Amino acid sequence: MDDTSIIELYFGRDEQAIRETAAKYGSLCLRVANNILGCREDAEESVNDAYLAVWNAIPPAKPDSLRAFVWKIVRNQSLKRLEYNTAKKRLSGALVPLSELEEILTDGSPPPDVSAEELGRLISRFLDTQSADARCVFVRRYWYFDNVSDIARRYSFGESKVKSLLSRTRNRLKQFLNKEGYNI
Amino acid sequence: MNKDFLIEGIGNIDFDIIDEAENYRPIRRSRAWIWASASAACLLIAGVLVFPHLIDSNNSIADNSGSVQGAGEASGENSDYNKIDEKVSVSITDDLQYILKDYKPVPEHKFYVRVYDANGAHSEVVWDTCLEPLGLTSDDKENFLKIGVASLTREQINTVKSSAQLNVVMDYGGEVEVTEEYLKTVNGPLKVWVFTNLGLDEALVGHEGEERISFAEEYIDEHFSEYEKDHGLNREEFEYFGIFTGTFTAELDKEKVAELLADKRSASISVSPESEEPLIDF
Repeated sequence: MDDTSIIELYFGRDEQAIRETAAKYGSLCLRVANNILGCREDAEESVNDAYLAVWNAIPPAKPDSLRAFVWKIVRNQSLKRLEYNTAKKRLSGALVPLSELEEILTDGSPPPDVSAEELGRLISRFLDTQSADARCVFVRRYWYFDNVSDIARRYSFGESKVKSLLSRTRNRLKQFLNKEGYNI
Repeated sequence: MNKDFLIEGIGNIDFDIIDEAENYRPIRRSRAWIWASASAACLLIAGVLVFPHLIDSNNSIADNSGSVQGAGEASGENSDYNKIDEKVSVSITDDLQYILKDYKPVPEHKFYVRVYDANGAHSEVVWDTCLEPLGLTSDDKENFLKIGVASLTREQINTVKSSAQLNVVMDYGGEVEVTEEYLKTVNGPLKVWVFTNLGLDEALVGHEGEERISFAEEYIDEHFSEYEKDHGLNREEFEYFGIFTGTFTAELDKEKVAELLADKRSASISVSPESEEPLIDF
């Protein structure tokens, strides 16, 4: 079923919408959640929470891309659960990539009027200037939260190359954000 | 900025970029190509060790019947490359330009050409349109189609000058095996060559021109630590030999060399005795 039809099901409050969403995007959603949480059971719960969130969001939301919409909600739900798990000192999957991102941070604060959406646009602009290799590896690591060996296998790179690309891209992103006035 | 805000920001990057990462398939170079590249680099190093007599410092490019493919057109603004000879004006890739820095050409040296189509693949089509007109034999063709490498004479390379698709490597030929017995015959410090092969070949895809050189230097320096860790090498002792082949050279004590060679992981390390007259002055 195409995305438009699935969205119509959501608007018609037909629960088949969730089943269709799960059938079409469930496997990737579960992978992302599992990457973040490092626990299959938590990942499944997180994905189910995400389906419910999608159900509650559409309508009124009418996303241009259902896939992007669902993935984003899954990612956010999983990160929330990760935060909860971490507070409870439960083992978590994405702590390593998250700690890598700390390299980009400084003690400063972002401009007060900047939203996460604007930061996303800025990071997108930065990524557009990078090589496809660097861009995709960065996204696989910090959006999908894939581990280094999985990225290396997916793209037929050596692990050292993946690590190198990540390190360089993080450094360049930090410089870019500083240059753009984001004191991070 | 706190980490959560940054993570949230990354969560908001354009979907096209997220989608690209899901579907992206980098151009792959075949294992054969990588081996061919590595072999060419090894042969180059080995050749320097085995055939020092081929290096005639009195030779000049003008004396050779065929011009060495040099850097003029491709890197005319780079003073290092122009040290070769002002008369050399054939376009080649940065890899060879770097290796050829201060190189004294010798007629016996061979050059190989790798040709790729727009998709980064070597193919019969490329052969037909680019190499066949050069009069290469069926054996050459078979070799080219198998590993993407063909052997050309200097005259043939001259004919295909300025083709951006050409990637030329040179090969001195020959092999050398450095053993403990060999080391016993040597006195004094040794010139050590380290062929690192740290994935530079793959990493360089998409990097061109001057940026390619700076990227390669940065990449190798960053990854050299793996060799430092494994073999106790000190990066500060080593100089670049061929940056694009990931090859370094240093003068080390004989004892240190023996130690390095005793390590099975050091198979890529070659040595040559340091003579009063340098074998080749890079």
